[in-house]
Amino acid sequence: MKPDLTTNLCGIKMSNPVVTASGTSGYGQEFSQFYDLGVFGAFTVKSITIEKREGNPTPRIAECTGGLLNSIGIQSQGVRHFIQKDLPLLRQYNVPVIVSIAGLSVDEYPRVATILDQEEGISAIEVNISCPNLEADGCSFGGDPEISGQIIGAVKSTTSLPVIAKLTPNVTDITAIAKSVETCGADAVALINTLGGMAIDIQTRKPKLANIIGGLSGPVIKPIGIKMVWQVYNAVQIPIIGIGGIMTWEDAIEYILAGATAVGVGTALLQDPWVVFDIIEGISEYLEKNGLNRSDDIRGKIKLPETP
Amino acid sequence: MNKVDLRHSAPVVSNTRICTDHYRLVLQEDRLASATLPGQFVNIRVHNREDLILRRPFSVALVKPEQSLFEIVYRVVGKGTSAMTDLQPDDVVNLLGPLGKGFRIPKKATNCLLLGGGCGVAPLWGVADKLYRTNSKMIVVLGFQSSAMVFGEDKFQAYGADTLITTDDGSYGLKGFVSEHLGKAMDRQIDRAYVCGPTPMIKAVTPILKQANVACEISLEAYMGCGFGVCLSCVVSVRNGEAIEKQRVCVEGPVFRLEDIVLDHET
Repeated sequence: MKPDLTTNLCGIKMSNPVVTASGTSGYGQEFSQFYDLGVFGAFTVKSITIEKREGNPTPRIAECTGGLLNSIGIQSQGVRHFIQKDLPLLRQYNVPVIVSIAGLSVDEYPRVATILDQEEGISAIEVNISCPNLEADGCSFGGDPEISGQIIGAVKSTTSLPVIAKLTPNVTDITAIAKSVETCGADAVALINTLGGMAIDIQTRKPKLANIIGGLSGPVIKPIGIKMVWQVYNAVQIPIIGIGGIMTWEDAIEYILAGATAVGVGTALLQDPWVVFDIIEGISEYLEKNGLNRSDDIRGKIKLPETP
Repeated sequence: MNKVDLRHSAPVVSNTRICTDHYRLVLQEDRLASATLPGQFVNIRVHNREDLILRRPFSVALVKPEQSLFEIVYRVVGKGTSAMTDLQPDDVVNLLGPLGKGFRIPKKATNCLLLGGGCGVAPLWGVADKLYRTNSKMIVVLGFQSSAMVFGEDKFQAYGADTLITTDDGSYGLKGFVSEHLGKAMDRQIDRAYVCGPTPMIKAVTPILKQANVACEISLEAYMGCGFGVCLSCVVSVRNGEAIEKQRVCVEGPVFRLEDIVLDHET
């Protein structure tokens, strides 16, 4: 019998645990030309800001061994454009839509969430707290447990939709952030976002990114994501979307074993949009081979060495 | 809505060095050979290597639909292109394509200028191939660093084009940059111009082409992530009416109209 891949993440009913990681599949327009977006367990759009944003100068991307550095700078058309131009297309597909929101100040987050709350066809709001805080020193909101919780609490108060906190790994103790957002009402956490990184062209001595520093993604960050998902799984009760370097079904299974309810695929989709089919099929076959019916059956089920 | 499958597995027919650092890769794939327009590109996954995360984008140089063949010219600049030199006949290349918008080729005969620099000479082969079939007159001006880097002259001559070569050091053809010798070509009747080359060349020739007031299309280079429009890595500033907006080289380009392109110093 084929395993049942459906899962429920804080009330979002998913046909399978595989979701898009924000920022790697736009707003669905391009991927919808390739296949039915309903293949995904949920579709997470690129972060939306209250107003239009130009994004950073180019080059915005640089490859490193096993990874990808980017500094796109949240190029966004703004929330109203998203509602008018992008959301109608997403509504045509039988897929839960998770809308990622970003802000440059604490109060921008609830403002975007308030506008989105009135729209049909949104299953959850993901709060990207990894953006630099331009009101403070440019460090991300997500590095401070108190500010992280404050933003989540503010967004929660504006919407009845489930709220997912997207956590940055650029912190000393990710469990402190996870606990704080849980206390402030987050319905789930998604982790990890990109890791801060930098690369230099030794011939020109120029940084490879125009923004000098950027975020590292891809298979090279997977062990960090696995560790943090496992740590957070043991620290909070809310479900986890595990993200970070998932290129294959094996990577997805590893995240589920570490404690993830759903898995986000990002950089792999930039390389091959069709990889999602292989990942879902691989998860199904793994479960079948191991005599399991649901991915939930292996969630967090790593075998730890016995304590003497 | 009909869905598009951009994935292809194309066997290598040949992979040969054509001049210093430049290789010509001929691949066999029926759909791509039939559907690719001059100026469109393919995005190659090099040897499916796990350390090379990004695909490498290359403009298609020429298609031969009747033989199901298409070819690209690449210059060895880094890990990906170095690894590509190992490709042997019958190896299979994983690629996405055709991507982007190509050059517009008029159906009727016209007087055309083709302007290429370095690796950017290759995509103009496809333009010349199409123009040849419309009985258009072609003047071709190509710029290279030195005689060791010169390639493709014979291709254009085979299409009956007047071909002018410049090298930076004067070791072949005229000494200097294409922009310095463009005046000679511009003295003639020219209705359309097609340009492909490195950004400094494009910057140098833009004022001359603007002054000549010919319909001109330029293929731009950019660092790309996905190649199909989602990552927003390859954006350039482009005029849209009164406004200047960011457009993607991979989707709205790589070919843009000269009058729409906003160069760095204009922003």
